[in-house]
Amino acid sequence: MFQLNKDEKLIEKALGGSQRSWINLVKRYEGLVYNYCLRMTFNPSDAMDLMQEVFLATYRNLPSYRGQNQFKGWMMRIAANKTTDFLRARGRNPLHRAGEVSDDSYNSPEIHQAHSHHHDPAEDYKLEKTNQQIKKVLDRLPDEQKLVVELKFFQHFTFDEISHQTGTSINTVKTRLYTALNKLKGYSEMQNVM
Amino acid sequence: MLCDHQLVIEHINDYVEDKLSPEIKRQMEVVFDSCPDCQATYQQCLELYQMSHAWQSQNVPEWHRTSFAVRPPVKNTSWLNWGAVATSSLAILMVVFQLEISSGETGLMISFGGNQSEAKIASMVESQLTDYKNEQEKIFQVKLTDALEKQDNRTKLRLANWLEKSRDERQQDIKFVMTGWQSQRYEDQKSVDRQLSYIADNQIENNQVINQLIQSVATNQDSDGQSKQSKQL
Ligand SMILES: [Zn+2]
Repeated sequence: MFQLNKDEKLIEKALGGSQRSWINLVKRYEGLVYNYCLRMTFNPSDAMDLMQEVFLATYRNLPSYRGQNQFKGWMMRIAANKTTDFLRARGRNPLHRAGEVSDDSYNSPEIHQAHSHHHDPAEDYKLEKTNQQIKKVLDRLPDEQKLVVELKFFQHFTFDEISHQTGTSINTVKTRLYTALNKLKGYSEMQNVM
Repeated sequence: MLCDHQLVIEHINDYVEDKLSPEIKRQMEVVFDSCPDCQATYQQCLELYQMSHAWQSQNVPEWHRTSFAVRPPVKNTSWLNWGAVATSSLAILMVVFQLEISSGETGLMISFGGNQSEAKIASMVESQLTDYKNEQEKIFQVKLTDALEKQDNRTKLRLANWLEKSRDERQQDIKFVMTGWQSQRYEDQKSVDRQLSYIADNQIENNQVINQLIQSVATNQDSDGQSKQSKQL
């Protein structure tokens, strides 16, 4: 409750022109949004692009935020919209890319840059490998299914919230999740993750 | 009984998250026992939740959290030209016409000296304008980049507030800066210069004012070639 209250205060100050408050607000959620973007896009560079678009749109829409301690859900609705636009604009259908996703991105400069402050490269590799395998699983799904899986399994939103965020009915959300589960049945890559 | 999987479609997540009433939970378990498809869906759902917990949270790379918060329209190419022209016009006026700016009780006074002919003025203005514009564009670009990179939040906020003001208020601001300009010490010159550059930004009206000034100077010099002219802004 305290946490949520803090959001509201930061938003109020940010709307009053305080950039420091805006920065603090961003810092509270950028980890969540960035990791969300990592799962929804194809590489760290795309994730950064998408994350910045999400926060830009959040900033621009801040005056229309209605309060009621719903900032995270409200922001993720913007994120869902931006993600849909982003993936559509890139014209990348994950189905066509399954299997070719980022085996070589272990060596991408972005990853090394992003984690250059880590000490143990072997640990980094292991960490990246787990995430890459999770991405491989998610990338088997079409965007709209991937999005509801993300919002339900990774972010634990309620069906009501996901329905609002994706602009679809609760039944549609449930059907997409069910279809996604069926699509992933027997996919061996999942065993590698655990 | 043939299973239509509807119960599982409806409740599978809540079942795994243990949010169901005992009654529905029991119904679900009956379905799992009788329908291999639904049993497999349950297993898959369980695995997906486990997989989500395996995700290794990544640190966000360093990024600029406010670069877009007060972003000048850099991509608008005509903006830079107008801005540069407005700034340089002002400088040219001061040089060519020995422009003097002072504030009095009635407001801001701009005085002109000099005795150039109209044609001479026109050609001087034109050639200096071109030179100055080219030169200023580079400086402008550098200054802009510089200012952005320094994350001068106070300046950006002031600029943001300023952009929200009405045209009249902006004119007041320009007068204020111009008045202050005279009394600035040399070491302050650079920061004022930057403020002026910002004010010139999006301020096409500046050019109109300056053009009016040029015209009025030319007109006045037709009738009175020598003496000092004053114009109230
Ligand atoms: Zn069934």
